[in-house]
Amino acid sequence: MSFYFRTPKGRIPNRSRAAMRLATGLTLGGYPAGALIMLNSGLAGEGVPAFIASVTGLGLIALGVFAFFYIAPSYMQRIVGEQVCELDDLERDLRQKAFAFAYHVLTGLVAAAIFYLAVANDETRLTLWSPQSYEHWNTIFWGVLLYAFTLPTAYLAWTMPDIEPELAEEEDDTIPVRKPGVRWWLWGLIVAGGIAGFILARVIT
Amino acid sequence: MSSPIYNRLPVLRAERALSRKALADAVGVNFQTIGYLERGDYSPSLELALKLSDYFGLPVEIIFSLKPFEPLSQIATRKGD
Repeated sequence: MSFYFRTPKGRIPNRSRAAMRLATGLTLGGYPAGALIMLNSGLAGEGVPAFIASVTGLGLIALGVFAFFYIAPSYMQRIVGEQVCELDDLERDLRQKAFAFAYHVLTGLVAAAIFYLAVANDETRLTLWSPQSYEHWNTIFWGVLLYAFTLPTAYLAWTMPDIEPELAEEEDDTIPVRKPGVRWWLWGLIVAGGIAGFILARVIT
Repeated sequence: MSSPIYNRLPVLRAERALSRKALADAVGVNFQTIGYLERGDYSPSLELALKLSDYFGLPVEIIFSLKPFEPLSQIATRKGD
């Protein structure tokens, strides 16, 4: 599962490999760090220290999300998020490798998380923190979604050969072959999902 | 790790005064893919190798090889002798 944001004119903005590495690192590191700081801001005490910790956490989360929106229209994100029929030989090959990597990492993380939850919920052993409230699970949900979208791109950012400057110049001269249509059904599905989630959360609470 | 596949794409492109973009459009790939192929960063699929072979009107083994190609200067020197 991944996500790709097509620009209105169909042009793919230039993103260097270093910028992509930084952006994917910020997304994958910033979100969990920010979420942990924000959820544990109470440990900093009350009043101003708690507020500062909370704002710092929120800032890190915002940084991670902004970094994702920097990644979203890039060439690497196009490889993992575009429809397969729009990709060429090399891009399909890279996509397969990126998805295989992301699958292994995500399954490893999920297995580790389930193991941790099993231990944390076993009262006869250790007393560990486990997610309790809607706030906790909401944070985990968005984190998993962000990881699913970003891990394949992070793999490409760290393994894909850099584009030669002469190639980048050649790209500047090229005119987009076609103007892509907006996938209204996809946006409709996202909006409907958001509304359904909102209503469900209200009904449950 | 698979062994590298060497190719004569830069020479064939230069002979025909083709840009990467023109060749890429002709075989239906992104122009960056041609760059990666020429640099040896990527080994083509059978489909792409056959498309390139068809486009240049040459057998696949003339364009791609598992062994490095002999430099043209050496071939020319040998023929001169």
